[in-house]
Amino acid sequence: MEHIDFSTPRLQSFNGIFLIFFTDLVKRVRQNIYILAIPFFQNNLFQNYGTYIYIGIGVLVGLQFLFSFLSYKKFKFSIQEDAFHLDKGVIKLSHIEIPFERIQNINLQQNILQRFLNVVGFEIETAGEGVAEVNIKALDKSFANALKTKLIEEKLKTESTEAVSSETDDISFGTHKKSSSYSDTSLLFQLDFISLLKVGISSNLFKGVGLLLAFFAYLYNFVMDFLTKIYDLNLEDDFKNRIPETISFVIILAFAVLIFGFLITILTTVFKYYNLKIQKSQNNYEVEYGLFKRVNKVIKKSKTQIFEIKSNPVKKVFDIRSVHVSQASSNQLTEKQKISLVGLSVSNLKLLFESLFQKQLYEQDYILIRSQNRLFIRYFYKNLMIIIILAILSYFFYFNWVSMLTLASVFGAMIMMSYLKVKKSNIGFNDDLISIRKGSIDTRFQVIEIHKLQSVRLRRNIVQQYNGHADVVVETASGSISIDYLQLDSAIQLLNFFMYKVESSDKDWI
Amino acid sequence: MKFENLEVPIADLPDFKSVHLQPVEKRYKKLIWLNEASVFIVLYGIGISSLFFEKIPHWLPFVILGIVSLVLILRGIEIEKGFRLKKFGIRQFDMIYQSGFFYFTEIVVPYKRIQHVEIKQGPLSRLFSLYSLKLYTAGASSGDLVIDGLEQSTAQKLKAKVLEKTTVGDGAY
Repeated sequence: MEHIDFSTPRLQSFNGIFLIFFTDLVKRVRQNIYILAIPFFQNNLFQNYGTYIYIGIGVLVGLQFLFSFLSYKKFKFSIQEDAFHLDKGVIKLSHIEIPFERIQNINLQQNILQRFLNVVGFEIETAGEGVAEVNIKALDKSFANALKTKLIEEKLKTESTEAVSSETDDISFGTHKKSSSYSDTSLLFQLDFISLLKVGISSNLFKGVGLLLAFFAYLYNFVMDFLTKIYDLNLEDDFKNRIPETISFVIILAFAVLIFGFLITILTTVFKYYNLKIQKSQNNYEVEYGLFKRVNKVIKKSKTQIFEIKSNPVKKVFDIRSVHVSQASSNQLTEKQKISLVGLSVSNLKLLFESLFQKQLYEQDYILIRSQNRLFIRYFYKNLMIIIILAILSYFFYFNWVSMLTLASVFGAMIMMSYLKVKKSNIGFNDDLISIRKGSIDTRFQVIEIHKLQSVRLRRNIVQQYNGHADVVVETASGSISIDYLQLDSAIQLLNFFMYKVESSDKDWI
Repeated sequence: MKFENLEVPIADLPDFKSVHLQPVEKRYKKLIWLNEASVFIVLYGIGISSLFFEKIPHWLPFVILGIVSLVLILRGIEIEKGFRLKKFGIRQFDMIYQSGFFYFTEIVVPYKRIQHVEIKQGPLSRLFSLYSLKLYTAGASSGDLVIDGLEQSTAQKLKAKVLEKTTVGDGAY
């Protein structure tokens, strides 16, 4: 595999045509999903225009295939002496050039379609600025690995010739486990199926329930539209009038939704994190997970900005934690962009933390500053606002004791949550680290190295200006975190301390 | 709060509150008002012109005008009261900027963490020959420091100061 000539521009794997075609097709269908609703507005559309519709669809699919074929043909990449080059675009041509030293990560991925077509996706991540991120959809596996090794070699070469910073060996590259050049990859952690189930059980049930409810709401609207169109009934009124009598039915339904939501949560977790593996290679960690879509990500020590540990009461019972690592990026990371490691035991957690930060996780002595109780008032007003809006809505649409009772209990739950949130919210610091704790029933514990801060803000709204409190916002290269309602003088001292630490340390943020 | 365990006692640290801050140029307020006026003229235009459409319910234009006026009053307070608070300060290792009446924010950005510096002039600020200075960090845009309403010479002086510090800070670049 060493003899591949990378300098000639080449196309993706032949199967790539189909991959591009199918993914584009799915995208188009998704964009135009609302067209599917048209048949419900025009009853005998198909009888009248059937053939035209089929021809039209056929032509569109044909055009799409042509387009996908062209975009396959135009997508050419090569390695020249100084950079990775990529040409692409059917109508708008673009040329991307990535100098080797700008390459941060190389990820190989395989979703179910790619697996079926026996190709892998190839991603090049660069640091910051968000300009060129290369995503090659279809490559032969062996070729992709060879390309990756080649790029890593080139990158290492530029680094050694420049000799910018010989001591920063942690910038050295995350190697894929199959590349032959580095044999010192060791398996740190592998998630077994039982633990995976535990992760599913302990993850946030409401996500699954929400998914299910959204699906049902969609289905409900769809069916109702359909029935009212066809049978000219006003089911909605009928249905509404009967609700109070069939309260037991509602309760059963609610239970069913909860149970299904629960199952869906478990299922999605199992699919997502199937066979999670963490491998240590050099100073970096390589993470791999997924059943249908196999994801491969690299945690680099120097790029790591925020180390977040999530736990909740169920997780505590199972003795598992999940860790979400935020890497440097040019914008605020979404939950999805964080690298999630689920089902870690406490000892795994300690090990991971220790090798990323060279410190013991649980032996840190933080000076804690808590959010003041006035924060509760802020949450209270926010919740009150939501409840008032909901109450107004329900007054117009559906006003009886059931809805009022529901609203009251929702408000009660919100108050409870706010109370817990205020109790949990605090920031701690010592000579090197900042710890931020947040959460209500669950707990999110974030650790940041002080020298990785970009800037610090104090924010005071007009009430806080009056009563001497401030929110502290710390900015990192992977987003900002705020700690609300600290006493003004402690907030000022915090800022002074952080600035002193950043300015007096010679460590860089990446 | 106890700070015993630290290398340096926190009381001895330089306090950013003790820095003497400089205000931005006075005429920048006119520019803000001009900007604001252009937005509100459009908004009022929509509100008033909707009075003449018969299809729109009668109460709607008044509600729109009411809301627009309320926002205008709040914006007016923010601009008038908040302008005096727009101040920046320079220290040896970082730059400070504060602003805002309803939301008073103070941001401190170390020169070390600045990725690049930009002096900008919009079409309106050209009228007043005012410039804005932007310090970009590697973080999200909320962590960047933007000072509007500077004299060109001030902006350039600040930029030079920042650049000198950033290059001294990490010679590798």
